[in-house]
Amino acid sequence: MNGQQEQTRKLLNLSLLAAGGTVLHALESYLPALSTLPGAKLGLANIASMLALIWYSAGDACKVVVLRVLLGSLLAGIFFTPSFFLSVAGAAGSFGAMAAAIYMSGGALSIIGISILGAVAHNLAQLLMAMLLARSWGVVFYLPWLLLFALPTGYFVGLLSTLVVRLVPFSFRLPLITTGKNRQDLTCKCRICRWSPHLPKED
Amino acid sequence: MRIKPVILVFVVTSLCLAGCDQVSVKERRTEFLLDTAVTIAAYGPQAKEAVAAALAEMNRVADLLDANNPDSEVSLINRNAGRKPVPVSAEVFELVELCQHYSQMSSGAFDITVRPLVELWGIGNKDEYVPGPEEIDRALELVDYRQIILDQQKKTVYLPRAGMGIDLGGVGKGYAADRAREMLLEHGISSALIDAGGNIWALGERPDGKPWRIGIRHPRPKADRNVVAVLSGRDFTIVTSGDYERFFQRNNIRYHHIFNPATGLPARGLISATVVGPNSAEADILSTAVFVLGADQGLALVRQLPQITAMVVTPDLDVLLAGPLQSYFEFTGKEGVGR
Amino acid sequence: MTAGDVKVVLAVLLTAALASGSIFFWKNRVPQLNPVELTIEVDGQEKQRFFFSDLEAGGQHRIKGVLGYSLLEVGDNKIRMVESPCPDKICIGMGWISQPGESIVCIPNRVVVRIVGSNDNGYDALSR
Repeated sequence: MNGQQEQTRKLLNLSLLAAGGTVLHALESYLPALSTLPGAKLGLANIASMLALIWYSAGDACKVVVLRVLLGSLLAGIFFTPSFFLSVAGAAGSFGAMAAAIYMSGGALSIIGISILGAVAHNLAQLLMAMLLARSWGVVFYLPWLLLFALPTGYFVGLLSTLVVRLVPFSFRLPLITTGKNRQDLTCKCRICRWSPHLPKED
Repeated sequence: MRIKPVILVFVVTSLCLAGCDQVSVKERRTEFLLDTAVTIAAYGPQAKEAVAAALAEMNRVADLLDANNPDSEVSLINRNAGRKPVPVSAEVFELVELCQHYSQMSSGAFDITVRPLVELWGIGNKDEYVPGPEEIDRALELVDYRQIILDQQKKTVYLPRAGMGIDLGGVGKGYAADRAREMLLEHGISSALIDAGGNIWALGERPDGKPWRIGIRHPRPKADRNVVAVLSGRDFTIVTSGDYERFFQRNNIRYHHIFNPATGLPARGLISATVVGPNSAEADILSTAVFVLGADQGLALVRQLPQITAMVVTPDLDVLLAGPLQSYFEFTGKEGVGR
Repeated sequence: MTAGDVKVVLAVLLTAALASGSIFFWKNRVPQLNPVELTIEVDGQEKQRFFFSDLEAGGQHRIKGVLGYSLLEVGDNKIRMVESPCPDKICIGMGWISQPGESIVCIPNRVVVRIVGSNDNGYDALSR
């Protein structure tokens, strides 16, 4: 692949991720609520942010996140409503935490751990925004629940991301950033994560 | 490096906990006006300014309506009884009209022309005494809301007979509380408690997001029990009229300050009447009207008004309710509800 | 999951436990440690504020009002007015108060004794 092709492919892939994230976000809003807690969502759209972070750079992933949030809110008709600000806070929080984790953890964390951190930050940022919007610190009582809730949802999103990273053919991907390690190091080695119906042969 | 994620979580958590305290500002002030103690507690970023503005407004209303202040419009009306119509501000005119409306609805149970009676009995003053029947009859001749002459065009109020007098004390606290609420709302306050001498406006909800809880004073309190019931709710006003606030006793008979304009004597049908609604001036009027009318007629009046809820306590300490908010009363004792 | 992931999970669990612990404490400790707080206002100004637990039951407390001295009597987590220079003595007639939201008001002497701090058993204001 020459540079021109690579650029085009990257643009295409980032757009696909943004679109995919938007769709996942919309899909999730159709799922029955997991709990009555505000912000207690699966956060499927975080898969898009996660993949963009893994396959490309933090700057590229940032573009995907911004696009996804803007498109998603416009589609849902919540642009500049309180839900929009909650959504922005959540996306920014999880993106920031995941980017920081990928660049700073030095390979100690797998996608699962990164995803859990992202989910935690997502919920914390939403909680903070909710407190600002409601001008009340009353919601702080949700904090422990939101933290605990981030564990299964973060795990689930991490698991899905791991599967995608492994299942998507290599030709789709580009060399990975992170701290000198390649993308395989980010995928988890445990039995659950290694399971996959048709694991393509690695290059 | 591995410790970083943990730090991140802690930093975000502590930032969040530290930032929260700033959000809710509280201001509480008490002032003595309208013959009572008025307390406003407000929560929100502009609470200080809002409470100051609300109290200033209540002071203005108090000056406007005080029948004992020779400069008030109400005194002017009373001084010119039997002499000439008095032009008044639109505010006082509308208030008198509102009172007249409920006087008609309650067949005169609420009547702003009771001033001659109040002066005769002197309740709340040093020279309180029990007048004889002739004296009462003479005072009663001057008590009749139907005689007030209102001129819509010129906005004048005229009391046609010398000696007549109006007293807006039965609506003043409520109206002042309504005005205070307006001022708080203008300052963006969405959580506040206005207590105008037991006339309560519970604005919005409690700062912790829970409904306000307003106790209703037990008319015959015991050592361990001061309230009959507690009403929980958001954004409502509650007014209670009772025979216990201002009274004196002679020969074991309690003479209190709420008169029945039909008999000229303190009303006897109830010992406490509480009215809950969306407007404090109306609730204030209605609590007096219901108190004077008694349980049956009083609650019948309340049932005609869809937004009004009432709770009354009879001399036998029976508790009766009417209106849409009945189920929000939480009773602290075993008083019977219903009959 | 890697060892790092496990650490993240443990950190989150620990934070959640700490947060819920402190919230639990904060929620439960406030009403228990300062069960009822009392304020005394004279002419609209808060003059004194103390906890019931700091007051000795059976003791008396003097307040200088506008007309003169009002005398409060402290009971077992309750308080009442026993002497007042006001003409009508309504404040004395109010009897004991003990619940958050309750107050003794002496209008002539400009004295307000108020029990503050609302909890679920009490109420925020009293309609009278």
